[in-house]
Order: sequence, then structure tokens, then C-alpha cells
Amino acid sequence: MTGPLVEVRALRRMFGSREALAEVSFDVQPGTIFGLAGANGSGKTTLLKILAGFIAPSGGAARVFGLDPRRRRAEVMRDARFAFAPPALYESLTAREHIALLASLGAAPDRGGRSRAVAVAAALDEVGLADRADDRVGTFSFGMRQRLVLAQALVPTPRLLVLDEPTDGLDPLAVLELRGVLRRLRDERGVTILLSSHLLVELDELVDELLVLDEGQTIYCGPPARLLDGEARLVLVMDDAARAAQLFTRRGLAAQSAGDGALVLGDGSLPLAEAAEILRAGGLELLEYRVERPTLERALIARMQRARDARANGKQERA
Amino acid sequence: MLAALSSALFLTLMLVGFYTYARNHTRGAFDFGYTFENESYFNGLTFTVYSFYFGFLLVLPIFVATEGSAQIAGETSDRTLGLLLIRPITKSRLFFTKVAVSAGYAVCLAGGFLVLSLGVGLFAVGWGDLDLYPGVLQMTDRHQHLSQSQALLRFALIWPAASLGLWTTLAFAFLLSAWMKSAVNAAAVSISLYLVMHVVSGVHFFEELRPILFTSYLAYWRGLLQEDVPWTQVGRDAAKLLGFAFVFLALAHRRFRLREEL
Amino acid sequence: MARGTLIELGLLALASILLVLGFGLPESGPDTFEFGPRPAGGLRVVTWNVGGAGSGDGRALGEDHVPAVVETLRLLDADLVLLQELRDRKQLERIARALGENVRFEAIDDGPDCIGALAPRAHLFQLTTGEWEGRRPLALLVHPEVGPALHVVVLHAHPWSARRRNHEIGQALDLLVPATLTPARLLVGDLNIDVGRHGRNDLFTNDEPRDVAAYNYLARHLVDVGAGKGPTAEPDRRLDYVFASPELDPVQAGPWLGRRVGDMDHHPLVADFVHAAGE
Repeated sequence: MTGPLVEVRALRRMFGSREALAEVSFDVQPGTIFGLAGANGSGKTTLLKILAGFIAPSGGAARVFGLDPRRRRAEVMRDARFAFAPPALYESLTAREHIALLASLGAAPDRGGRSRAVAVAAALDEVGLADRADDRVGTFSFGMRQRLVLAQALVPTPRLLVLDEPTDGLDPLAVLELRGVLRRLRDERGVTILLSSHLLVELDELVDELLVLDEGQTIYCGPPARLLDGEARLVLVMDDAARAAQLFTRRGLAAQSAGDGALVLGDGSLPLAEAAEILRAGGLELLEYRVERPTLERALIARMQRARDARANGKQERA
Repeated sequence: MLAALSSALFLTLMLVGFYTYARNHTRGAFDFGYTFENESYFNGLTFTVYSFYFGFLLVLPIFVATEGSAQIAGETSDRTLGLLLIRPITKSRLFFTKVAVSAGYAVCLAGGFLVLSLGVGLFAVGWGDLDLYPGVLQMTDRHQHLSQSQALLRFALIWPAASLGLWTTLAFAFLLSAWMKSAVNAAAVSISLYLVMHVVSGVHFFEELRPILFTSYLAYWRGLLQEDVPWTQVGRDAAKLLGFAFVFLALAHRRFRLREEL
Repeated sequence: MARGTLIELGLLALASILLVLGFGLPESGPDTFEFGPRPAGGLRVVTWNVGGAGSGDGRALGEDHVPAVVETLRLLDADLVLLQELRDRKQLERIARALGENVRFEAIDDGPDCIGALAPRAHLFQLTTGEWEGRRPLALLVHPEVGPALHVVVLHAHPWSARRRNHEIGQALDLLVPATLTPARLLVGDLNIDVGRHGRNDLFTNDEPRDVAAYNYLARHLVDVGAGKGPTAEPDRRLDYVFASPELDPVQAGPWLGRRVGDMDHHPLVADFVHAAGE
């Protein structure tokens, strides 16, 4: 199968009168890491539960490996593995027993042809739990549980790995290690990964594609780098900022004061040379300039804020 | 473990009750001259009948209902059900695996309790034949006499028969378990409803209601303690209990299959 | 159709079959008593509470029903007839005369009703019962034309008080216990106790445990020969009993439902015996 592993089209889900997901569409291509970002309550887990077949959509369609997960969950789970947060585990089992038990359900063969015992040991080693393999899960910290949930998802190795908030409770070093594990899974074993997080910083530099949800609405969908498009600012410093602002306004350009004789123009609104020419024609001298690029997070927050403002305006107009 | 401890405690209490009852009723302390049960009639087999009867109707259903409730509602509230559902296993298979495991538990529970009752009865109370008279336990319409070996054989038959009765209670607990999100609530509701139905089944002014309650047929295995076993009646009641169990399981399965795992 | 739906339909189909089997098959009620001729060389005993339920002239047998009683007794052709709720000794005598010149009879008439015995083919000797608490029974030594003598106690136990009838039944059985008596013994009559698996679990009285105790007391000494043959009184109650010692071998026993006499609420209970030794 060369098409997308996950296809979501105009997906909607209502909880009573509340719309948890509104017309969400995206594809997850094989061999990529797909990030799902958004604040708590933005609809990420609802979306993942629809993909797992746990709940039904109210509208639209979701397909995993081309199958409807609600109707054909067991078939989907042959090659997909989900790990939901917070981690739920059988407290009385050891880590090794836990993974072996879950791996025995449905008994899908390992893609690498390993025996189950070998695959279990390798998964525990991969997440750094090899030395606690025979300890009861009840004695594990939250972070260790999180790692065990990831480990159980790796036996047998899936084609699609879906992780819900996998970094919750992990220390910074463990987060770093997790990123390494995920990259290796993608690059060395060709595992397609869909992971969600409410912290965008965790997805930055890791994901190939990013979907950002806010209150069930799609804020952004595409490569993370493009999230910054249009978000850079041109900062100009001159001797009379107030007059400069008038000059730009006359040209129909929005220029905001940044204090200390500085003006800010939106990225791409005007080439630097043209801006300098406008100032020179007005008798002002451009003393200094710089292009300020926001962090991914700031860019996302800016987009969310604009989307929320637009929704609020829309509601007011309807009212 | 808890079931075994509770069963042992129950049997100890039964033993104490049995002896005090026998003493009070046979040494002239009781002013009712012709009330008559004496020590020769009380023996280990009578003790087993009494303790198993009460245990089967009041103690074992609590454990069976708790087990049935834990199977789905427990996994739901612990959220471990999600761990199972992310594996290539259908909900039907998961459901029937759980039913089979619980049914096995009920068989072990009934067998274990019976063996424990017999052990305590025969070694602590005494050996002998089994004499049953019409009484408040309503075991029989007339005096029944079974030799010790006959009685032991009948107890061996009572084991599967009683297990079948427990399966119906189990299926009822599964039904509630599939509807409720909390194992504690499911167990509490299962046990409460069981007790209400048990009382309603035994009180004569509910006689219109009795036939439609599965609890009315649970003690059908008493028929196996008759000299001439009324096989037709035993078969009829067993069929009713299994029928009720299948209805409960069908409804529980439908609910479990179609519900959303939020 | 989804596989899950098929599973559910399968379960429901199975449940339907089982429930139809469970509820649909005829209830295995008590074995019905099939009345037949008295056994050759044996002994037929009939006990019958002939009182009317709500009869206009009291609970005892109304005179207008006497011919019907006589006709029924002729049909039943018993060796020994034991009647309760007669009006008085004279009424018993009229019935005896109507049955035949040689029919012997004995009665006890010091309770609320008269208890009588008729013996078309036996000699009767009434025995004294000594001090008595409650309703006094009729105690008899019976010499049948064929077979050994037997001791018989006929009781009409208290209808309302379980405590009283428990005492009466206990005392009546005590009359039959002494070893000096003949081995063949009968305790018969309307004992007014109804026990069994389908007991009523009455919440408001403790009658049932007392009646059960009384029944069990009897059942440990004597054989309840009419057990399992259905109710002897309306509505659906088994109040009349023939308890026999093991020396008397019951051939058949049960209520005779051939004819209702007036507004009586009891049926005659018929018991046929041969002596265990084949005498």
C-alpha cells in the first residue's frame, strides 16, 4: 500500500451540543512522523480514539490502512498500535509479563520474525526498562509507566504507531531519548508515527507534518517550518518613528511602533529596499533594520489567537 | 483468596449455629415439646446441605457478582480495557473469553465451597446417612433418606447443577457490568438487585412475579436430594436458568459491542 | 448483517428454545391417585372430614348431605371409615345404619365436633385417652375380618393455632408409641398442617415452622402414605393424612376426587394396605 496510512476527511464529533471536532481533514503518509498539537481539550484524544475505533464520528470519515476503524478495529490493530495517556496498566504484573500478555492477544507475528520473548526484551531495552523488566508495574513511577506503554506498543513492531502525549511525566533526558527512539523507528524500521502533544516544543524538529487543533478546529496542517510563514517581522529603526509610520500608512501599509524609535512591518509586506526608499523620499534615514523570526510556539499562539478572534467575530455577526 | 476466607468464615459460623441449634432443641431447654430435631438426624451431610444451601443463595452470588462486575466495568474504570482493545482481538472474542474465565471461576467456587462444606461437615460434625424432612428450607415434600454413599454421589451432581445456577447470576452481573463504568457500582447494583429478587422470589405475595425472576429457580438442585430425583423438574428449571443466562449474555454482548469507549 | 448481531441473535434463539422448554413443558405435579378396587385380603381405610365449609347450620355435616356421604362410602367400600366434623354420635349411627345392619361404629363427641369410626368388616373397641390437652382424638383397637389387629388414632387437629395442633399431634402420636400396642398402627385424620417444597413462606406467622416440626415428628415414626398424591382439600391444600407404621404395606393411597358432596372442602383420603408379612 503506497497511499496514506491514515486518511481523515471532514471529521466531526459532537458530545451533546459541544463540537469536539469540526471538519478535520489530513493524511498521514507512510514512513513519516505526524504531529498532532493543541492545548488540552482541543480534540486530540477524541481524534485518536476515533482512529482507534473506540468512538464513532458524528460526521465525515476516518480510514486507517483504508479500513473503517469503528467497524474493523481488530483488523486495524493487526498493524497499528495505540498508546493512550495517562498510562493504564495491570498493576500486579511485571513489565515483562505485561508486554507478553498484551502481545499474546490476537497473536500478530513480529514483522522482524523475532520470537516474542526476544521482541519483549528488545522493547524493554529500547525504552530503558531492561533492568526493571521483572519488577511489578505497581512499583513504577509515572515516567516508567509511560515508557512501558511505549514498549508494549512496540511488540510486535507495528506499521503505524499512535502515541497520545507520550512525553507526559518524562524528564528532559528521557524526552530526548524518546525522540531518538521515534526517529530510529521511522528511519530504521519504517514505522509511521502519529503522536500528539500539548507542548509544541516536543514536536518541533521531530515531526514531518503537523496538525494543530484548537477547540476542535484545524488551526494549521502542514510541515512545521511553514507554520512560520508570514509570521516573521521586519523591524526598522529610524530617527522619527512617528513620521515614518505616517509615510507607511499613506502607502496602505500597517506599521506598528515597537518603542525606541522602531517600527514593525509584517513579513513580506514590503521588501527592505523599498522600505528604505520610502523613508529616504520622506527625508528620514534608516539607521538599523533586522528580521525577527518567532519561535514555532509563538507563531502557533498567534495563529490560535487569530482563529479565536475570527470565531468570536463570526459568532457576534451571527448574533 | 477473599472468597476462600469468606467461605471458611461462613462455614465456621454455620458450625457454631448448627451446634447451638441442636443443643437448644434437644436438651429440653425449648418449651415446645414436639419440635423435634435431634443429634442423630444432624450429621455432616445435613450440615453440608444446610451450609451449601445458604452459602449458595447468599454468599457465593456475592463473589460471582463481584467477579462478573469486575470483568468489564472493572477494566473500564481501570482503563485497562483500552489496552486490550488496541490489540487485534474482536470485542466478541474478548467478551466470551471473559465469560468463559468467569464461568470457570463459578465452577471452582461452587466445587470448592461444596468440598469445604463436606470436609467440615463430615470431619467436624460426623458421618452418617442423609435424612431430610419437609422444613423451612423446603428441601423436600416428604421424608427422604439417602445412604451416605448415595448422598455423596448426589453432591457430586449438585456441583455442576449449582454451577449452572451461579452462571445465571454471573450473566446478570455481566449485563450490569457492560452498562456501568465503575466496577464498584456494578458489583453493588448486581448484589443489591440479586438480593431484592431473591427475597421477592421467596415471599408468597409476590407469586405473580416469581416465575419471571431467575432467582426463583436457583435452588433447583434441591431436587437432586430426593430419593427419586424429579429429573423433568430439574431439567425444566435448568433450562429456564440457562435461558435467562443467554438472554442476559445477549444483551450484555450487544451493549459491550456497540458502546463507545470514551 | 454484522457478526456481532448474528451472535446476539444466536444467543437469543438458544435462550428462546431453553425458555420454551423450561416454561412450556407440563409441570411435573404430584402423581395422580388412580382409585381402584380394594386389594384382596388387604385393608382399605378412608378418612374424611365431612364438614361443610361455611355450611348454613354450622361446620359439621349437614343432614341434607348425609345421603351423598353414604352413597360415596358405599362406592369406596372401605374396611374402616374415619370421619371428622360429624354433628353428633346419632348422625354417625344413621350413616352406619344406612350402610348396613352389621356396620360397627364408635365415636367421640366431647370436642367442638364429633369424630366417628365405621367398620363394615371389622370389630371396633374404643380406647381411653387419659388426660388430654386440646381436641381429644378417637383411639381405637380394630380387629379386621382378615389380618391382625391394629391400633388407630383419629384426630381433627386445631384449625387455627399451629401451637395447639402441634401439641395435639404430638400427644396423638404418644398414644401409639407404647411397645405394648399391636405393631400395626395408624394415625389418621384432618391434621390441618400443609407443608412441603411449595410452602408459602408466610411473613406474618410462624405457623409453618411449627407445622413442619409436627410433620417431621410424625414422619420419623410413621409413613405418610398419601404423600405426593396431591391436595386433599380445597383450595390446593394437603390437610388430611394417613400415617401408618411400617408393618402396614401401602398398596395405593390418595384423595378420591370422584364427586364433590355439597359444599364440603375436603376429599375422602383412601389408603389400601396389605400387611408387610403378607398376612
